[in-house]
Amino acid sequence: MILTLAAAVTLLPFIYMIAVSLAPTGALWSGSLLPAPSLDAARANYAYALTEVPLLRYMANGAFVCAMILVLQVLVAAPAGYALAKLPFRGRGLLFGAVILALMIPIQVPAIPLYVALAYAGLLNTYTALILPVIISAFAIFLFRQFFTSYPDEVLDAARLDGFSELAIVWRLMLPAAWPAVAAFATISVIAHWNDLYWPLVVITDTDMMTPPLGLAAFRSNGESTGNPGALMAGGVMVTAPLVIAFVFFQRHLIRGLGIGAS
Amino acid sequence: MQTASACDSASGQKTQSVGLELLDVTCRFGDVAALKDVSFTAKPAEFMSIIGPSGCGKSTLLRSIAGLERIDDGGIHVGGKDVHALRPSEREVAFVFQSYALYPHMTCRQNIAAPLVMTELSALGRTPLLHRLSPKARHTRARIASRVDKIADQLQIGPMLDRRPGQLSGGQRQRVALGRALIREPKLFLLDEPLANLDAALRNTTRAELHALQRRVGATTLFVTHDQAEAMAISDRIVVMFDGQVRQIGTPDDLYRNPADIDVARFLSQPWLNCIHMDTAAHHLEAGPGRPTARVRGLPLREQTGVVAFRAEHASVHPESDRAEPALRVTVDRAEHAGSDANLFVTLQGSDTQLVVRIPSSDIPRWPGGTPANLRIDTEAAWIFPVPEQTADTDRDAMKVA
Repeated sequence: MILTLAAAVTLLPFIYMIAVSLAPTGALWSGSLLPAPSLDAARANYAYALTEVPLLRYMANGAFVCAMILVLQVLVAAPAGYALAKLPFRGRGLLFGAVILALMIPIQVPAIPLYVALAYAGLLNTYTALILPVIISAFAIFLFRQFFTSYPDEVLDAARLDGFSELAIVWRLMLPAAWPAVAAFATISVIAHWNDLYWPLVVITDTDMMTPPLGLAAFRSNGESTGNPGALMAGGVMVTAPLVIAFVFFQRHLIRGLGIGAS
Repeated sequence: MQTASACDSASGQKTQSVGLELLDVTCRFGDVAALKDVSFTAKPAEFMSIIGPSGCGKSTLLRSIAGLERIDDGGIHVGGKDVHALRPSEREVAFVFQSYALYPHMTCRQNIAAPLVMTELSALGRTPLLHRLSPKARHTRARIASRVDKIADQLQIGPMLDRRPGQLSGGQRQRVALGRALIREPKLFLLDEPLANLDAALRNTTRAELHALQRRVGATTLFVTHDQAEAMAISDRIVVMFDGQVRQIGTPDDLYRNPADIDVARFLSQPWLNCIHMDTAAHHLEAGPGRPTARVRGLPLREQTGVVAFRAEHASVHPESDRAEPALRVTVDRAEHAGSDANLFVTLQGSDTQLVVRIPSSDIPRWPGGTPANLRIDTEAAWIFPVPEQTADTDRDAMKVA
C-alpha cells in the first residue's frame, strides 16, 4: 500500500511531463488536472524540440560519453578488483581501505582542482573533460572485488598452468563469471552519467558538446522557449526514454547483481 | 588404442617422457616449514604416489613442482630441465585438481582446448570474431579442434563436449579435467586427490582407468592421496611424507613388509597397528613355567627396548585352552564385519591395551564379547620399533602403546 503510494508519487511528474508534451500550450491553463492531448499539438511540440535545439546532437553526445565512461571504468576497475581480491601484495588491505574511503567522497569535493587542471590542459569543452575525471570508479572496483573474491582459487591455478596471463584471467575468466555485477554496474553508471548535470555544467559551455540534461537546461534558460512548455516537456520525454527502455531490459540483472554484491 | 603422444605428429615432436628430480626442496610459510629438504627421483613413465596424513605437505609439494608455490630452497628438474625460473605454463607439467577446477562458463570443448588456445594462438587468434581474419589462426584452430576430438574419444566424453561443467556428473567432470591435462602432452602429470570426490564404486573403476591411461600415455605421474589402499593398488613406488619430510620411498610391497618406522607402519595398517610395550609383551609371552624365550624376527624380546608392533592380519586368536605356543591373554570386546574378513577387537588382560586381529567372517560367532582367548603373533611379520615420540596427530595411536 505504502509502496503503491510511493510509486504513484514518483510516477506523477513523469505522467504530467508526457501529458504536457502532447498538449497545446493553451490547454495547460484550462484548469484540468491533466491537459487534454491533441495530435497536432504533440507533433508541433516534438518537431519544435527536435529542430530549435540540437537535441539529437545532445543525445549522441550523451550516448558517446556514457559508453566511453563505462568501457574505461570497467577497463580500470576489473584488473584493480582482481588484484585486490586475488593477488597477495604488500599493502593490499590498506589499498582496499583507500577504495572504501574514496567511495565516500563526492565529485564536488575535487571539482575545483579538476576544473583548474582541465583548464590548464586546454581540455574544457571536450569529451575528455567529461570522461577523464570519472573513469576511476571506486564503486566499480569495490563491486568487482567483492564478486571476484568468491571465485575458486583452484580454477585460477589451473588457468596459470594452462598459460593464461594475469590479465587474460581477468578478461577471459573473471569478467564473464561476474556478468551480473558488470550488468548492474553498467546500469548504474549509465544512469548516473546520462542524468548528470553538475559536471557537464562545470566543464562545458559550447552547445555542440552539451549532454542531454545540460542541453535541456540551456533550452529552458535561453529565454526563447519559456513560452513553449510543451516543447520543453517533449525534449524531456525524448531524453528520458532511452534510459527507461534500457532499465526495463536490465532491471533483472541490476537487482541480481546488487543482491549478490551485498551478500 | 591411440596414444596421446601420437597425436602430436603435426608438430613433428614425439613427447619424450622423462622423469622428475627433486633436490632438497624446502618451502616455508612464515615460520612454518611446509617442506623440509624433500629429495627424490621419479623414473621416466613411473607412477609414484605421495601419501601421508593431512597437513604433511603432499599437496604443497605438488604445487611447488607445478610452480604454483614458490620454493625457498632446492632444485626441481622436470625431464632433466631445471624449471626453477619457469612459469607454471612453461614447465610442461599438467595438474588435475581435486575439485577439477574447470572453467565454469566455458563448454567442455573450450575447457579441454584452453591450454592449447592460450599457448598456441596469438592474441588476435584468440579474439572472438577477429580470429577469422587470420588464416594461420584458422589453421591452428582446426588442429586444436581435431586434437580435442581425439582426446574426447579416448576418454569417451564426446557427447558431452558442448555442455558446461555444471551440467555434468562428478565422474564426467573428472574426465574433462583429465582431458585438459592430457591435451598438453606434458612430461609430468600431477594428480592432487583426483578420485576423492567420486563415490566408492566409481572410484575403483576410475582408478583402474587412470592407471591404464598413464601406462598408455607413458608420462611420469605423481599422484597425491590420503588413501593408502588406493596408493598401494596403482603405484610403482610410494613416497610417504610426515611433517613436510620424506619418511620412506619404496614399492608397495617394500612399504608393507619393511616400514622404515612406526609412523609409516601405522599409516599403512588397517584398522590400526597393534603396539605393545616390550616389557609387557615379554612378560605375557613368557608367562608360565618352562616357556622358551620369546623372539620377534629372531631377536629375543628380553634384550630389546621399544615396542612390538604387528598388523591385524599377522595375529590369530585361539581358544583359552590352547596353550601350545606363547600367546597373549586377551578378552574379546567386539567384532566388526568387513566382507570376507572381520576385525576382532580384544583387550590385553591386565591392561587397557586394545588390539585388533583379522579373522574370517565365518568365525565371528565363535568369539562373542567377554570370551577369554589366546592371541598369537606371527613373530616373523612383527617389528620392534623404538618408543615413538608423542605428537599431536599420533596421540590416538600412542595411547595404545601400553
